[in-house]
Amino acid sequence: MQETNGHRVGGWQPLMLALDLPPLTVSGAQIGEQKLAVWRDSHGQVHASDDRCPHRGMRLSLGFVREDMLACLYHGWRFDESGHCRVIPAHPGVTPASTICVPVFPVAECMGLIWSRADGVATGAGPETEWRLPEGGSVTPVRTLTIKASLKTVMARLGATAGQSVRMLVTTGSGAVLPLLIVARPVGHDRTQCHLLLEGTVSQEDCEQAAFWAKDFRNTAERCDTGADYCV
Amino acid sequence: MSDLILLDDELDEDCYRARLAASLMGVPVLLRAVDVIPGNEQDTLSFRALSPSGHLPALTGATDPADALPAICGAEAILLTFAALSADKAWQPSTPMETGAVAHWMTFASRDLRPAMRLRRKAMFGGDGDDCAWLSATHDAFRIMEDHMVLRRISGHGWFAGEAPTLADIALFPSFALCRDAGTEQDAYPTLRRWMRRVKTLPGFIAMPGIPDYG
Repeated sequence: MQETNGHRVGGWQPLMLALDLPPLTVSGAQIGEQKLAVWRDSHGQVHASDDRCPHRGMRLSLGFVREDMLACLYHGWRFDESGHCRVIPAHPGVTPASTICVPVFPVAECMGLIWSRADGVATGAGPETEWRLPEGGSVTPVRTLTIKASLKTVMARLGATAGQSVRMLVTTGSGAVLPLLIVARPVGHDRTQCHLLLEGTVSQEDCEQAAFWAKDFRNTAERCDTGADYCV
Repeated sequence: MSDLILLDDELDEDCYRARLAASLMGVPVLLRAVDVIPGNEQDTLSFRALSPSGHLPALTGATDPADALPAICGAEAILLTFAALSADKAWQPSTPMETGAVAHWMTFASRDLRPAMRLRRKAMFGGDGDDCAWLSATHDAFRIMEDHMVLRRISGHGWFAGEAPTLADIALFPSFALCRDAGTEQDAYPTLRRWMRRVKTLPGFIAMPGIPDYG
């Protein structure tokens, strides 16, 4: 079953690796039923808004970032970090009314990940506390992978609890020990998004080994859970 | 050599491969539009005389009159022809290993990405076919590409084969860039998205309907 279906997903959600959102780019993401446009400005700051232009309903995640505003692909309406429309290219002399805006969502960047929440909660603990992330120290991001298996299956394979980060030591064939940090959440229909990082600053070879481990893990988890399908 | 003429269909993905390659490699070609939809011009006797299987794109002006081949047909063949014709020798693989890797990904593009091309054609122009199987095969192919580019990123590379863009990147790019025409999401492939943006910044890059040239 789909864990997110019909429910508002609470708390901070890990959306993507920070390195997968370079400055001046936008990407789509989803928390439960809420579609987000997540974008990074020229100063490196990340912002998130509803993924729908109020003009014609176009997905803003298909748009682009210009002058530190999120621009719609259709007619170029630009929205600033507070979600207010600042530019309507077809009417260059007009200051858009303050009522023209898109809902925005809180964003945090920590542990090499971009986090947001769509539960309307503005205050409270950060993702570090909610997800019991390791304190201090650095991380090396490896990759995000989507597994065609439920979060329940994935967490059972990891022997861990949903909604918390997973720390585990994995020994590779060559005898190296990889300090894995995994943050997993359900996405879409019966799929799980896993963000894989390594604790500390590690070698390129360790990163490669972690990427190979991730592929093996994905294969194993998907064999345990054959219910997932793209056509639903 | 006579003028190169590319028999082209603006909305066809394989024709875009050829146009993109010509532009990136600086090979001058004249475009001649073939009325595929709704005209079915690819089935006319005059077109079949050039491209016997009715396949697009087709390139005239690049064959030796002595070998009785009126046109070079198919995106892969035309990409290889352009690379050989281009004054920019960087488009030719420089090592045996790079040759192998480029051939691998060009074959992957024409075989494993075929379901993505069919899915898009059906979404845009209708027709029969098993969407569900094609969608599943499309995601399988994109996953293989994403896995590869994750390892490439980790080893400090930004392209599918070699140190610089190759025919592999040109052959693979259109299917991923156009997949939203069929409603396929790109969000699950963050490494491919970054590679896609990289391709768009290449000198000589051209877009087609469905691919914004900024973003």
